[in-house]
Amino acid sequence: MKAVLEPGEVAVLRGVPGMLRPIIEGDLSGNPDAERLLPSASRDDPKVAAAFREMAQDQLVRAKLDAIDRFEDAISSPPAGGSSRKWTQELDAEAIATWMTVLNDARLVIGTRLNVTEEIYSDPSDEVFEDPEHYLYLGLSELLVVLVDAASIAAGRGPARVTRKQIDEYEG
Amino acid sequence: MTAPTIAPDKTRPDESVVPDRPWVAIVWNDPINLMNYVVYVFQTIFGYSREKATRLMLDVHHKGKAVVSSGPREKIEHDVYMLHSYGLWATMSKDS
Repeated sequence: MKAVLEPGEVAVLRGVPGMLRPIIEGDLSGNPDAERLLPSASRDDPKVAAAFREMAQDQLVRAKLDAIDRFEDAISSPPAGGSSRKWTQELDAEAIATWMTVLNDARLVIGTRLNVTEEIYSDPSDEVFEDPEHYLYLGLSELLVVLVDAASIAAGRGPARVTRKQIDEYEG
Repeated sequence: MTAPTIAPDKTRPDESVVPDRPWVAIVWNDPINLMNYVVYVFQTIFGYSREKATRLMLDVHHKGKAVVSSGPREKIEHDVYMLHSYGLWATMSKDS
């Protein structure tokens, strides 16, 4: 997959690691952003939740930080030469997966802070487009849709679209 | 993506009391994760068909939650780890 981004888009994406790292490296308890990125494994059994955290949290944190590092290395590279002002880079399957998880983590943080509803993405109002944070959330969502398609195609499964027909058949 | 190394934990009392009740991984609905992303994650982690992954995603969306896998505690811990690594809101519990 060839990523082709406008300079403004690259500038925004370069800010993502700086947004995520302090959340993941910081004190996780009582921080809604961190609790969304690393949620409890049980809603009603503190022992199960504690055992899971003890077993998995350090590895989850490390995996997320490693992905952020790889994403940052990629997005920090200078734009391609020539007359084009666009930033381009070839993303292999591993890079696509990395971008997908990092940008979805960014959406989780921004969406939690904005207390978004499903309608913000499926039927955005004019006010949503005029608010920078909401606009960023929508932009990351659009980018994620493309990345999910690319990852699904790379896995040999074709585009990962959910169609209206599938939803209607389920509801019908 | 690294999966956790899960060592047997002999201090867990529940497993010796009710050995036959499997554990389940539950995914909860949230307004942020996209439908196609959730389908992709279910296919990638569990190897489910597109149809099964889509049906489970729609269960989550419409019913608020869905059991996406079941089995021994160690397997479900691994499944929840993977679901969290993708940013899905997942919990685990003993099957009721």
